[in-house]
Amino acid sequence: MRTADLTVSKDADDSPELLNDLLVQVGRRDAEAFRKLYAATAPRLLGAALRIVRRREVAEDALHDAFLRVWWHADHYDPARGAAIGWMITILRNSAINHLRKAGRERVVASLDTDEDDDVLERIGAVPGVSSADRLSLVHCLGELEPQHRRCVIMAFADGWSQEELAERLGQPLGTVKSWIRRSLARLRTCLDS
Amino acid sequence: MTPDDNPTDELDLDAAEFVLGTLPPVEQMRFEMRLRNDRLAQGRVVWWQRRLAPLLGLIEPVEPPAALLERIERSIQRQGRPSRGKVFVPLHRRIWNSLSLWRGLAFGSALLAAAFAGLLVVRPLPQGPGAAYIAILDDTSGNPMWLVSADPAAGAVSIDPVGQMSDGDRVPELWLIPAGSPVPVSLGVLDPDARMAMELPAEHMAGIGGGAMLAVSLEPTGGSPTGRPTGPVVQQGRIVPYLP
Repeated sequence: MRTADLTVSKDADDSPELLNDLLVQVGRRDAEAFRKLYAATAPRLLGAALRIVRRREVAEDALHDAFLRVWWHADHYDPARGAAIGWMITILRNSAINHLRKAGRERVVASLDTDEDDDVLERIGAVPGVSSADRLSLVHCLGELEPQHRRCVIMAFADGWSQEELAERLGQPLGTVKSWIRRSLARLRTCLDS
Repeated sequence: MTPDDNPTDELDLDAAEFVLGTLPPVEQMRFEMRLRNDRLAQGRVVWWQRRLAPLLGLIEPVEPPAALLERIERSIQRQGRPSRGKVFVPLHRRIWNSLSLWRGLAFGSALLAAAFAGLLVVRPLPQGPGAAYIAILDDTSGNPMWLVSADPAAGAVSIDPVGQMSDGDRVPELWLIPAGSPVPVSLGVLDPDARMAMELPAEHMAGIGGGAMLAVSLEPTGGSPTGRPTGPVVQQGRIVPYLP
């Protein structure tokens, strides 16, 4: 088991509640809360979009669409049912993947080296809206996975790769990649639940 | 079979893959439809969203240009209705209007389901750019039961079961009801447990545009003996252009 040496960086807001509250206010059509929520999350979400679509202007379009969705759907958000940031990430990633499809599927392929597992876990920094407890448990549980399986999960999330793209990228049969992902997720669940 | 085969486990792993973004397109659509009214599935998605959210910490923040927030706010104003809205204003009007069958999502049933509206995206089907028409066949309670996609260029139709049917000893048969024609054309007996692909003759394919309907009736084994629906029509849906 690896021990994560992680400290919460000063500029990161560690409190999920703050973002949850902001999102609830956005649901009441509070424009000021919307600006605060944007300020707290947009840089991270733009980074995530850029990593998926690889082109700055397309990433900005994806962020634009995602925040429109956030505005119009926030009134259905129920803080008792989940963290605002998780909800927003899903919206953003869907939006980025849509734009990627529209823009065509050609992509500059990221170097795998950036995600070599030796330091990838240490690089999981604090994120506004994510509690440090959640972050530390995920780091710990990812550390329990086989390195290649872990890489699959991380690339799928961070780069938005489909199973086919992962298989091609890793030089593995599709079925193997599918089962790595399922098995990793099952192990993560058990570990995160404990 | 693997130890993961019990249904709850499968649901949970589907939810995890939904959040991870690795479900194949048809599975993805099927799962999105399930999210409309399955609270268990919704709960698992929320769990995984929270649990995987820390991965965002791997990603370098990128400062958006100042003009982007202004652009977002202008778009909101342009789309907006006056005052506070319980009004559902879809972002991709074109998609949402064309997929009017998704109405249940926007206006139907539980608000909880609507909370997931923001997550829904329409993804290309495996046929890729050729899939030009789509229909979602709902049962009488508005639950999606079949997803039908048609590629006129290839004459290909595929049918995915997305709901649970309990129909005793009768079998579901699919009917095409072309616009302006009251006469249903049988497209064959469906398998509630498996994806089906069929070839549609050109004369039938020509009838699917312009507001045609699909319907499913329950028929004796082997299909309707008369060539017309003889049992109750249990599911139906309109065929709409698929606009990614």
